[in-house]
Amino acid sequence: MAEHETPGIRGAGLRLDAVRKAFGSVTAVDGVTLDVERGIFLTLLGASGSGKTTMLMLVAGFLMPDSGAILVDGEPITFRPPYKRNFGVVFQNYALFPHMRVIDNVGFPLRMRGLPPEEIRHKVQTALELVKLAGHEARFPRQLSGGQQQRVALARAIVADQPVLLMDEPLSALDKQLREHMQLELKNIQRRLGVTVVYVTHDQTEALVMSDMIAVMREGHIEQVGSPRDLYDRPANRYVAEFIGESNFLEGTVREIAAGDCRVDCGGLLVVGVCPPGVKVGQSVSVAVRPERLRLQSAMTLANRVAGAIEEAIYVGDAIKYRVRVTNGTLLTVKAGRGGAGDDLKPGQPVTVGWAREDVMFIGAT
Amino acid sequence: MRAALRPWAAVAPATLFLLVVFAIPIVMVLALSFSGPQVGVQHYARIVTTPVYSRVFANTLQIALGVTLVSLVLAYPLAYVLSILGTRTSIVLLGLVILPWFTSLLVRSFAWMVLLGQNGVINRALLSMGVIGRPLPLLYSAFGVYVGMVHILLPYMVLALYSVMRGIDRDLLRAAQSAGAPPWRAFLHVYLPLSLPGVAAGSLLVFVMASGFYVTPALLGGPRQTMIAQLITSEINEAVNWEFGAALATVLLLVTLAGLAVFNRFLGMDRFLGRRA
Repeated sequence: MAEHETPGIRGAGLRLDAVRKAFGSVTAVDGVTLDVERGIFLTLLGASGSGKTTMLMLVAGFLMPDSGAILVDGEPITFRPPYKRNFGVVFQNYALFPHMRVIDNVGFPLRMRGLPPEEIRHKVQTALELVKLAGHEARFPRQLSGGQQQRVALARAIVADQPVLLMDEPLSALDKQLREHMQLELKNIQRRLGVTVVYVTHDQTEALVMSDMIAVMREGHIEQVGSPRDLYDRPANRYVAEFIGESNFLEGTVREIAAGDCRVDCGGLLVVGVCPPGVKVGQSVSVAVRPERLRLQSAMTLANRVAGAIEEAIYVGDAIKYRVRVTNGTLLTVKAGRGGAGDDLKPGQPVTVGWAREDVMFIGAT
Repeated sequence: MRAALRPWAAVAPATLFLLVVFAIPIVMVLALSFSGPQVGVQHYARIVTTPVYSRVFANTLQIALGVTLVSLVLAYPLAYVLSILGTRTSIVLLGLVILPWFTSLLVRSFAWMVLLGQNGVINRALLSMGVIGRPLPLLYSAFGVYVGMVHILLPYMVLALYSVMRGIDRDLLRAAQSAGAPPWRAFLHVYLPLSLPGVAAGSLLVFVMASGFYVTPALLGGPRQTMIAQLITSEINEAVNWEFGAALATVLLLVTLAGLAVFNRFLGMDRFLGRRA
């Protein structure tokens, strides 16, 4: 991707170069190399214990790597103490200073930088307006709701024009509705400021909604880095495909390649998909289809069609998930939108499941 | 009705106990101090007009304050280290801190006499090494009193500080550092203010206990380290002047309360103790 040289961008570029960190015999971060472009919202996504928080602590300077380097705009900062890094950090529990009023919490980074009082007052006001918390200056943190505390923490992390904003699961303590609202607001603020964000979460939906780039982490290394769309539509491996969204996985052998299409025999079920380069006839492959890409229609012009019967119908509000046993005995999960052809099917009912060639993902094949 | 009575029923035994062993005796002491040969304030007049008593009160306050300060300075870093260690290690080390409590105060004061005396272990060691030419006045001096009292009171300070420091979120220091504060400024602006409730509680406890110390200054101090509790004892045991002893005890109580008021002014204990930081 090209360099983002928009005037509004104040973010710095980050680079992690073969960074490794172990705690005793446990390797938390195992030689990770990662580029974060200026003004990008990057999410480190992974299960607990995947090393994502350790990565963030290394970038923040609270931990020092055993080997490797961390660079900001090309300048190495690997062993620079946190107070000289000029990064904003939002902690999971907000870490607001309980003995300081909102105005002093937000103004703290400015006081540490020795700014004149008038400028501090002005900048704190601007930051509080940005996070929609003007008027709460005199409150103490304990007098604020969780969402408001979250906003104070955010204001404190951006008030000194920090070029990099690090966030460690900042929304996990909020209820679902507020969390979804804050996701959009955070994204909005990030875009307006042009600040580079490194965001840690285990919530894939959150990552998809907010991120420009997502790095899926597992056991101390990165499984895949890409845009949300990349990761969802072209998962590099089964772990990523399973971690982000749901999938029907099928194992099979390539029987025939014709006109760019692969015909894969998956235990009697013939799957037709767009052939990725390098796949040969006779090769074992793993293919996947997202449940929402499967259709339940009788008259279809789709490349893949298979007969089956509904085994189970699960109502999830905005959609219905069907488990369909198809002719070769495979169980497929189909997610049907409401009001469509498969709105109200009952178990036992015969159906035809169909999907397009383009919807077949070849997992792990390049 | 019964539901409303239940909380009162729960505190009744403690209230009764305090009433019998604390409130009533205090009132009796007060009453006693205004009696004697005749009813009046003659005992108080004697305390105010006799220079030795004001000097002993000044001594008492000075030693109590000094011991509190020394304990605080020694205990603060110790409690800090304990508070950041893992739970298991910190429990073991806390056990070591309170280990002296398993020995009686009297035994420990005698032990210090053995160590600090003219021919004590310390003086002999220093003499034989040629560090000093003649024995240091370690015993029967302010030094002896301070050592003995700090030794006994230090665990209270450590425990009071530890319990507050344990509750200070470590992320706050990280937040301060990421906001641009070097470690010493993070300490000054964030950690120190948040640890003040512990400083207040520990200082209060040690000051109040030190004000009433009797055994240690009697054994380890000289005449110039006489504390008020020693005078009260001698009035009651030797002079058998209960009324005057009661007046001295009342003044000690007032002086201690005045000390608390001063503490409160500087540390704002009522502000801190009431709510969790």
